Amino acid sequence: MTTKHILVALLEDKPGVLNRMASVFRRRGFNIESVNVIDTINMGSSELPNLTRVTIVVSGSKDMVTQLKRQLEKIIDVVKVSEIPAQGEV
Amino acid sequence: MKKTGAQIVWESLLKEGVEVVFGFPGGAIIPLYDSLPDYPGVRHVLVRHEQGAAHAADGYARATGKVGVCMATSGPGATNLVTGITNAFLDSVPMVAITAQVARSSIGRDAFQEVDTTGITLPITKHNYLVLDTPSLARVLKESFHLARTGRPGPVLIDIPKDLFTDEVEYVYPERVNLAGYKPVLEGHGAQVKRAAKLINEAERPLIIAGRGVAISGAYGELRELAELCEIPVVTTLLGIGSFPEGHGLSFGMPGMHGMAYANRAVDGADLLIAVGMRFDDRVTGEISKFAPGAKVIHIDIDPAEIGKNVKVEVPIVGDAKRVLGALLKGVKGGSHSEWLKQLREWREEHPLVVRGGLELLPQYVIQQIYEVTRGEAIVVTGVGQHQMWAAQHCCYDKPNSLISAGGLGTMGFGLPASVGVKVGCPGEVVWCIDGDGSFQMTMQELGTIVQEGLGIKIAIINNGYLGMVRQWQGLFYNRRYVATPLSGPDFVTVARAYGIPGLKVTKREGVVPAIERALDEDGPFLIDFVVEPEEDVYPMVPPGAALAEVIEEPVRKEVSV
Repeated sequence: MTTKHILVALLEDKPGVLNRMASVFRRRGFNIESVNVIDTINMGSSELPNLTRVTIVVSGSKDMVTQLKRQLEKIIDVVKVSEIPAQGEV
Repeated sequence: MKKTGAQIVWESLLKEGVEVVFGFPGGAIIPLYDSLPDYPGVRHVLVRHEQGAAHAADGYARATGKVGVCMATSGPGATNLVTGITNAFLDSVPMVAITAQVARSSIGRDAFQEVDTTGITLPITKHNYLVLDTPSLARVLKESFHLARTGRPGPVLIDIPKDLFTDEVEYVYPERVNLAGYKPVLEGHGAQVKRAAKLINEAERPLIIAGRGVAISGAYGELRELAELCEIPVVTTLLGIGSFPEGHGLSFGMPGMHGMAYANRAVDGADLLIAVGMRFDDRVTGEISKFAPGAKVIHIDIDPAEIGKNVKVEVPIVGDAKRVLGALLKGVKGGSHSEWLKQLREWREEHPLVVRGGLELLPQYVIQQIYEVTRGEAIVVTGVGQHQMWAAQHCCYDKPNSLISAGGLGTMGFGLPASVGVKVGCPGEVVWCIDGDGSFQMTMQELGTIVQEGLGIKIAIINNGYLGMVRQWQGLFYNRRYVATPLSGPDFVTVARAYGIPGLKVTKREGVVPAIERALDEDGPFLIDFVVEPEEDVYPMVPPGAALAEVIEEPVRKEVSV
């Protein structure tokens, strides 16, 4: 069943790291509805220095999103990926 | 103490235990090579093409378990490495590739021999770096070796601008790495291990499928103990060959497209698959929807992204194969599956690996004789194609890493340069490069490397005058239209002689054994050109898109229409 999923990824703030993420979407054929990138320093968060937060909205089955999450976690500069409930799911 | 970037590279390699690098110099990397003579602890093997450097580092790494190192200059040097790096990536081989880049001031200006090396290699490396400041160099080297050899191993590329090599900075090699996003899980999850043990204890027709992960983690002992304790038969994937002794009573060969019919029946008939360090490649599974229809699956792999990627798994266990199997051994009761084993033995007797009779020089016969004459003690390195499948089928591999072959990428031309790395890494072993005439012609310039480095590699060319595997598919699925597969070649013995390598051409059965013995008498390299039956096909074969159970066991000989 295809539903909307929201993934939040924390990345090391290093050159090319967004390229690495985009490469996974392209290479593995995932369709991204939206991507939002924000530097955590700009969020006023002091406990997460030098990290970038990327919020990805993706449509797909649960298995597909699990696979996407694991592929993203394989990127060395990706520190953490979590799925947060999409609207209407809570 | 202050060091140049070049000194930092060599000293860091020595700190990582590197004894040999495979490379080829060029403009941008000259300053790195310039300081190589100051480090006699590092042996440099000059290849004839950068692809050979990557394959040699790959073969070295597979044979020794150490990280293989290759290096090349910017631009074409880097792009020529790409095939070899990809091959290592697909087969999880630990490798560090060092490329030079144009000077920092020239980056982005399309300078001579400038190419976006990290951009090109991004999807084919475990990780890569473009180093833009000399003080980071030591840290990057430390991280690269750590990444290459831990977790699921793989190639890491370091791209270093030319001006960094002569730049002087304080050098301290870091003690440890700090990578927030990289923490491989080694221990299997306790609850999953318990569930797996329960499934094993309850299974009536269990089967272990062992892959290259067993060799990488050195889990041979644990695998064998589990198989023996619970009396579970074992099949091994192409890259898993040697991780369980093929002469063992519980060994039932290789499943998959050119696997033994009885191995495929075993997978098809099992009620529990214990997959260890393998990734359900389509060449192993056949049509995935019909794969192991009656089996629950326990999947043990260090890479979480492999779990559930291709097949549905009942019990996923992320972890190092050695540790997970060790934990499993404490949870299983042990037992016997005599009915199941009886069934498997019957299948093996009813559906053995067949080689047709005939007085022609058959490729399978040649490979069987290499195995017999070397008493199974040689390390066999192959190219890709029919000869590779025959080499996998017709030798009995009992030792770990005794078959070195390009699996995931299926890279023709792998054989000769890979055997360079194998022989450099294992000088005391007898190394046979079994290659096809097509595969050999892709990288045969490495004969020069073999001579310059004094490597006693024995080369057997299975020469059928075709790109045989493609011809086989054309014969079976494309109405026997042999388009672009008939292949001429040089007189390989004359080519070898031009390099100073002795050789023999063999065209008849009775010439096979004496030629192999002659090759073994020679201390140095030796080449044998076996001119074999041109249209012999590899069987058994599971046609693409078919289920493992739909294996074609014997060739249907088609008559040539006149």
